[in-house]
Amino acid sequence: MLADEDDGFQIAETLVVEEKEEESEACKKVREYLSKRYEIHLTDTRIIRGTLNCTDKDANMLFYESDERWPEGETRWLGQAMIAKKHVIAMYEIKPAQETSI
Amino acid sequence: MKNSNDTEKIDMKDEFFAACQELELGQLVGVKKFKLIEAMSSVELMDPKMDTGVKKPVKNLGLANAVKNGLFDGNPTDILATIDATFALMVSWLEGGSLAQTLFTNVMMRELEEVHHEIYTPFCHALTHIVQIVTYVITNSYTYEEEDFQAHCPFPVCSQVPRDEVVRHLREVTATLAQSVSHKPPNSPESRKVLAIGARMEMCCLLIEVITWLVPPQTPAVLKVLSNFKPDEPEEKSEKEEVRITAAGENEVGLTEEEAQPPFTRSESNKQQCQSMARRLETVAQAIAESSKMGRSAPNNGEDGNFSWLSAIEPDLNKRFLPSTFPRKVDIPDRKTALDYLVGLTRRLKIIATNSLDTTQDLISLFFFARSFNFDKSCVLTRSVLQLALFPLDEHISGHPDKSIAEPIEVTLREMFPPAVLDKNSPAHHDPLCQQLYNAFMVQISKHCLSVYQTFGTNLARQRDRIIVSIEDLGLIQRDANRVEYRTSEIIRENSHEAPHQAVHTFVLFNLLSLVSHYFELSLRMDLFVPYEFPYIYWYLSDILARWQISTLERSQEMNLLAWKSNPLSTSVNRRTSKEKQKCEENLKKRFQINQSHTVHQFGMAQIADGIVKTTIALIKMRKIKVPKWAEDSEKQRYDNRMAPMKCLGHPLYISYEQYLILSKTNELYETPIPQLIEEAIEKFDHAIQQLVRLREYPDFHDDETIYIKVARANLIGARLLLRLQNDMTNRRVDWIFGEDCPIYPILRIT
Repeated sequence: MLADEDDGFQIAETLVVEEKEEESEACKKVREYLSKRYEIHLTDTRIIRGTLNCTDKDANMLFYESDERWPEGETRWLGQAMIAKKHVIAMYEIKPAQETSI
Repeated sequence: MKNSNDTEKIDMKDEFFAACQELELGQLVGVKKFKLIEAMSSVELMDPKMDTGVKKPVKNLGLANAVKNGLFDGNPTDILATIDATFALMVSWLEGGSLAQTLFTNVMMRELEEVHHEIYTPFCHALTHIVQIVTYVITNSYTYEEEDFQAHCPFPVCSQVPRDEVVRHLREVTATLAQSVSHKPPNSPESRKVLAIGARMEMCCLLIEVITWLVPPQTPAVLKVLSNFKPDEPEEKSEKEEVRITAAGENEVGLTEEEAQPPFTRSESNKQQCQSMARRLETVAQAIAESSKMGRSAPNNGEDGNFSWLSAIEPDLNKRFLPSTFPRKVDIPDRKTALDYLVGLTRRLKIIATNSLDTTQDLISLFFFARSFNFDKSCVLTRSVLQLALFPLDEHISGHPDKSIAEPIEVTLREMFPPAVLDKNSPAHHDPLCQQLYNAFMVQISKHCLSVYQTFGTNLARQRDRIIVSIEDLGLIQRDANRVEYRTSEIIRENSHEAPHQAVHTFVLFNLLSLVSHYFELSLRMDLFVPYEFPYIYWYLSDILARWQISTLERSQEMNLLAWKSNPLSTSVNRRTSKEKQKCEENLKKRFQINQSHTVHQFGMAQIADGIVKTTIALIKMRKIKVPKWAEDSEKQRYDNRMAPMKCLGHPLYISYEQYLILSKTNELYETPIPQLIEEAIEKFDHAIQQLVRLREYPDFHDDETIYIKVARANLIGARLLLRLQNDMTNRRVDWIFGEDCPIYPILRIT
């Protein structure tokens, strides 16, 4: 595990608040938004869809399994993508089609 | 993937941002399995350096639209512009751009079979073949790295027209174009443009022919041999390569009679024809470069840009084939730059065609040519062509079944350090064990030399990395050389009391010195040393490398003399052998002359290096060069890092920091008054000039020596100026500057 072996990453890892008893209310509130799929409309009219993986105080959002599409354009696979707050026009949650779907 | 109906259109942006706002500064909230390294590998959207999607894709118009816009109705000016722009895109591809972002942004290249035009059809088919040939050559030479060339292509690159047919078509078009203006005044603008188009067709044709001659395509025999190749099989099989045709018409390895032709069929009979084609190619490329302004000018201030102003070029044509992250910046040269680049490329191809095959006589010429070729602004294509032209498949030179790299190695060994094992009059030559040990040594050194030759084909940074491994390998081969020496010594001592010279050992040392020198040369060419490191770097170049090189050259002279004395021919008075004797004496004289000139050269280099050491120490004492010192042993750490590749070699090429301090007397130099140091440096530069000027007397005087004389003279003047101004240096700046023509030894500049 590269991240565990590297000191730099170990220090950074401690910043990630995991499920702990002393987790703040703000953390719990933000955590409710994670692991859900969203559709993000960007300032350049692009639409990004992906699962929210991580965020911070400045609302920098990290998505995985994401793709992008221009209006009336083809969809293109992105993988992991980071979006800064300033580029976001709208944010919609994509509800799962069925409760049983993964 | 969910469809859009699943989305409930409730914008939750504000509530989410507000929730995030409550977090503490620097606090990250992630899912349980989230690792920070994931953030590093993600695309940062809206950042043009990382996000290829940031630019809205335009609808691809394709060939049909270009034709509708008059692509095929263009006049010669338009055709010239389109062809030259396509060459510029090709140059960008050759310099590391992706095919999808460069050459194949020409709509005709993407829809090749739909192109029906008297000029564009053969041109585009020719370029497709050139792409195939270039990719084949570069990927098979194994000397390219990802920063040099992108071999990946997201779509098939193929032409339905065979290569020979394309070449014939190009020739026909060239002839037709020349004929069409034969009745017009030759210097009229129209005639010149038509002829310029013809020249471009001819260049494509010659490019295919010359590269194909230098690197013949693999025959079915080679492909079959390669596909049957099993590295674990014993080598004995190769000794029994008699081709016996069976009743089924196949030989032992399953080749038909046709397939069993020699793997590489570069015919000697058409060698001269190829050489003249290569010369013609360079001439045509020069003519094309001179006619670069005949094509239509670019609309925006005459800047070519990405050629989107031409109907044939759509820069975003293949955007969907590009990866979403880290778009590689593609530099597309303007037409003038691109055509000048092609002149350089064709010049280098001509050099390979005319000179490279003559450098295989001895190891020094072979290596010198490959090294110089790389330094001469070579590109990945020509470096690869050189590799495959000389070693198309294995260690056999030009694929010749009877000539391997062992031959030039043995020639150099015999000429420079004639070993007893190769002397028919020596008992060592007739000793089976000695021969066996010598053969084992030759196998190892041949493998090593082949690997070093391949290293010379890589770019300078990669070459430096690989040379470190080669130095280590050659250090190990020294053991094989020593085994030969021990046995030779045993045999010779049985017959006489004289100890033989360690010829094979000295030969390996000579090669080691050359490799280590090359390692330092590469480092200096890449500007990896800073001036405060010069005292130990140039001390090593002078006191270790140059001194040992002089020593090996002197030993070479002694060994040659001894070998000649032991040769019965030297004392023969027989008239029948007088001619042979005279020839041998002349060769010996010539060899001595070469050795002497190399010795003088090395002495001159050592003097320049000594002068640089003393001047640098004076500058450090004058505080014109600052030496960072973050720990007590900072310099030792720096020194150890620089000398690390030589550590495996031991004495005499590895010198520890403590030994360096003792041998170089650096601490004493730091105690010496500044004027005395500068005076000593002046003396060294003066001696260097005197030595190097002497080289003019030798027949093999090289132009490079003139450059070294200039460097020594410039430094002599600089040091004298420094001596005069030493008390008035407060507002003056002193730098070591490396010139383009001499990247090894710097020049002192006072401003």
